[in-house]
Amino acid sequence: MSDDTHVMSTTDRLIYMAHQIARNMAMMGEAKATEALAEHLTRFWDPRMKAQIVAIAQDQPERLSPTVAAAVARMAQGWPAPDVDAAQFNAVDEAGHCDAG
Amino acid sequence: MSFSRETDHGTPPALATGKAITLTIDGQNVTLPEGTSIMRAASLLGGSIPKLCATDNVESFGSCRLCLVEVEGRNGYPASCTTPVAQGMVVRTQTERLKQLRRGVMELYISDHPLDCLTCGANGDCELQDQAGAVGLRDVRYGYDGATNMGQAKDQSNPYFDFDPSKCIVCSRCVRACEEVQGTFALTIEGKGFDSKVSPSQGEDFLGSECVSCGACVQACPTASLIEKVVVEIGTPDRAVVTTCAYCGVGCTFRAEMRGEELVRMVPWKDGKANRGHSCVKGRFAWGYAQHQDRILNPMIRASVSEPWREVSWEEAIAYTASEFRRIQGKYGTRSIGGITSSRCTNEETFLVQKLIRQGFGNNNVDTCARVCHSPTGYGLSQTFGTSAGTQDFDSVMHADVILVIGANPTDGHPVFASRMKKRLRQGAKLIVIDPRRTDLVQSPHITAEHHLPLRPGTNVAMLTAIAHVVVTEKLYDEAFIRERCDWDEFMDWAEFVSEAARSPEAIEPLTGVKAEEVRAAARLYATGGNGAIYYGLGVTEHSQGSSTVMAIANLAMATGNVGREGVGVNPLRGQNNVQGACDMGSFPHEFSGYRHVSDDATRSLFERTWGVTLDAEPGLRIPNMLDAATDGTFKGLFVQGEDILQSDPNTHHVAAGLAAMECVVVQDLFLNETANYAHIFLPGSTFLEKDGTFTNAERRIQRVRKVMAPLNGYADWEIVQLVANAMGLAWTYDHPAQIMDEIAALTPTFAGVHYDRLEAEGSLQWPANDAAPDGTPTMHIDGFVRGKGKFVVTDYVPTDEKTGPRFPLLLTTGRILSHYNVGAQTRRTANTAWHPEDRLEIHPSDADNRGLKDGDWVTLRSRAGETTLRALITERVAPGVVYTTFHHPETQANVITTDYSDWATNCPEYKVTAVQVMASNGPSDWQQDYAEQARTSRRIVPLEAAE
Repeated sequence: MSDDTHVMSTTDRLIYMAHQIARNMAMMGEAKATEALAEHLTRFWDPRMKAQIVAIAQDQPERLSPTVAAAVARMAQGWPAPDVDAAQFNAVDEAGHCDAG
Repeated sequence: MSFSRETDHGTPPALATGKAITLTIDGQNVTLPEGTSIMRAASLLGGSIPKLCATDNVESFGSCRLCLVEVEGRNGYPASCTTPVAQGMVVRTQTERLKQLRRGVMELYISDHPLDCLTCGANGDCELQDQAGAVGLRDVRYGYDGATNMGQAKDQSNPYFDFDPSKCIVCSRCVRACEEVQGTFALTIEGKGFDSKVSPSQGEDFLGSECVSCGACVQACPTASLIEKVVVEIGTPDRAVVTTCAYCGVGCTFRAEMRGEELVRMVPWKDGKANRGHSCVKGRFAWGYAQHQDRILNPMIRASVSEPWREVSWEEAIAYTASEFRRIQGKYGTRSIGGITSSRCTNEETFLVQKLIRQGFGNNNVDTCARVCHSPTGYGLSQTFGTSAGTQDFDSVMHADVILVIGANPTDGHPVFASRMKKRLRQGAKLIVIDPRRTDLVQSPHITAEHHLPLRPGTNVAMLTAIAHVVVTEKLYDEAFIRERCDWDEFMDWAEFVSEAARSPEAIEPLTGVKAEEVRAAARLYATGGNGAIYYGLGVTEHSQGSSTVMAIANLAMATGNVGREGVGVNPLRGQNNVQGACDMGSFPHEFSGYRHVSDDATRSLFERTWGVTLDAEPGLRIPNMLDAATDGTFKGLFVQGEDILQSDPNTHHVAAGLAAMECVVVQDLFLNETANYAHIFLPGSTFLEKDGTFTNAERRIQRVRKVMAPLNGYADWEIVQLVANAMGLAWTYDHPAQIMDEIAALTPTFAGVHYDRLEAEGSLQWPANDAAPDGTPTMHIDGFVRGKGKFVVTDYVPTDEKTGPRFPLLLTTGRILSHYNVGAQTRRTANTAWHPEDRLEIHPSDADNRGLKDGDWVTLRSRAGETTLRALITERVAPGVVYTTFHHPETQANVITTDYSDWATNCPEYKVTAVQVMASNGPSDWQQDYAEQARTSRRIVPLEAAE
């Protein structure tokens, strides 16, 4: 991060967050850290954040460390989420997918 | 409850020795614990020996000579307050000689006391008046012409109470309450004999003295010498209702003493198990915000934040809220809206908000203000112990031998508990303080920390690991406890890690700035000094390694066997009144009430069956992620109950940008707070005095909040949420919060035994309260950890990415002050501003000198995130290189400075470490000027009549 700004884009923030978690799990060793990071992302990240980090792994793989890349791949294996209506995104301007209420 | 004074037995209960004493008082046999005073014994028998200097929240003193009794076989007339019961003793409390003696004593008191009872503020609530009647005083033989202490000037400097020395009988109850109950030692008796008088500090007035306005002296005063201004203004109360304070996480219970629907005063309830009859300036006095003219009482809406507010009916506001949320979901998807629950609201209200979001919005986009304070506690203690809660009750501190306080300033943040802690320290417990600042605990009257480790902000994990290094390498750990209670292999891995030379106190000294020998000495004391109790606050959690620090604390407690009994444990000092409860109630986006993950099929099915909908199995967005998603265009609507994220959350620019990007922000609050500047719908909230419910304090204690007056806005907050829910198509039918608690109990195993009738009967319950623990759980993990074996987690020190450098050479840490609470929305609307009218920047003299700054100068405080201006306070409380400020005033907006960096596991913001520069200022920053104008414009209101 530069000295001039403290505003991250969401993409930058997700990359930063994933690597920050990885750094705090590094003492576990590569294999355990990968599993733990994948589980952490699965359990705590909202679907759009998961989708974004998966997209980053596909489109900008150079921005992810090997551990983060492996964890994202591992997470993606156990994801997408269970197929319930409430978990679906609507396309913008597409009404009627909301089953709430 | 009708009005009656609480019974005062005159002296405190005896310390438990296990021995019983039988004696006779006025012909009645009684058996009592050894050490009980005759006065207390007589009171417990239903009698009342006349007294003036005795009261049961301070030790007996024996000065007034009114409580004399006769004891068979003993000469003279001993004071019953200072004479303990003895086996076979025969006591008479009322004889002709005693009557004569007491009248003589009372004559002397009254001869130097104004006889203005009919116009006195304490008329009808004065112990001197009562006792004069009790001893049958009918005449004062000395007349009133001699020298007296009457006619002295009143000290009316304190905004909440007056001191009239003319009415003082020099009983020292106030002095002793200040010493024994509060522990501030601000009062003394100045002069001798006839010239004796109560004096704050060194002859100063109350406001300018060390007095912290806890009210203990006022409560102790038997006359009108110390009296609440509001009692003088209104008169004495005619009824009292016991309820729970809405300020900090201590959860003090009070008698709300009323006259009709007017609150006269809040008096700490002696039977309150959290506060044991004590209070602080906020709970005792700072409740005036509830009737403040700034309160918004009518709902308001507007299409755009650039428009003025338009007052509307409740029906219109609720319908508009529902239609906007449905419109946004229809356009942008189910997950495009969410909400934030409030730690200031009741358990029942937070439960309903998260239910509205999960059941009504159909997603898990619910978060709570614990995100920005104790979310790392939830993560860290869940990982290590298996549940997200402190291990002890507050009483436990009285059994501690070594108290380790890290990242907490309880005398300011949790003052009533701090008084208990200080009492234990005065009894001889040792104190270790780990804090960058020299907090009051480090050195205060009769208390000196054995070790103060003034570490550099951001190095908590390195420090705790170094302490663990000493514990392990010097073999100070409790092997038997670890083998029985924890996973031994995990301990060995952890022990190997912390034992490495790179983690020794010597190796980390350059990082922390703390002498290695001091760290070693502190480690030895904690590990070997007897019962070791750790108390921590936001100085632990609000870091990029907040969760790691919580786990490092848990590791240390397990390694030394300091878990699972009284006097030990790991104790997070919760910030807001119901932050524990808000977390318990399922306010986090990944879990239901009782900390069960949303992906757990069995749990989700239970809720789905009860609520009749399919629930999302994916976690929702956390608050900072909601704001990110808003700026990305995928999150468009937010329901905010009792929370002011624009002022309280980090990087104000980012919060403002996120809010501005939303199409519908609904704020439910007492006031047009800073977040409401970006809101489209405002739903007026109710105060804690206006509703029923429960709060859960830092010791997991669930206590009743009782309605003492009708909501000025028309509805309690839970009713408003129900109106919104039903407008969105849900069919909620709650008539009373008790029904909501029944639903919580049915859905949450740790709350299974919590019902209002139990709370009425028991006064309070500490969860878990269920079949396995019908009376609740004061101490957790007694026979085993909730998760089974305690888990040692290796916590490597990962430095924060927030670095100092030439442009930003200082580290800013933020916190709170005694007189204010959080963003100050409540306390700024009380007379507490007398103590803290503005946020100030604490800066060390050497750093001030380098910048040519004098005390009181306006300075610019600049970080990579933004800048603001405020006045400097030059003090050695902060170390060179560290500056400190509070975040209570929106004019300052300290969070313009703080950054987006956050805890790796929970996104709890790193409020405690921001690289900054400080320089002399010419005036408010551009941002402050722009914000002031934007706030002024945003708060324009078109009244209901004009709008129609």
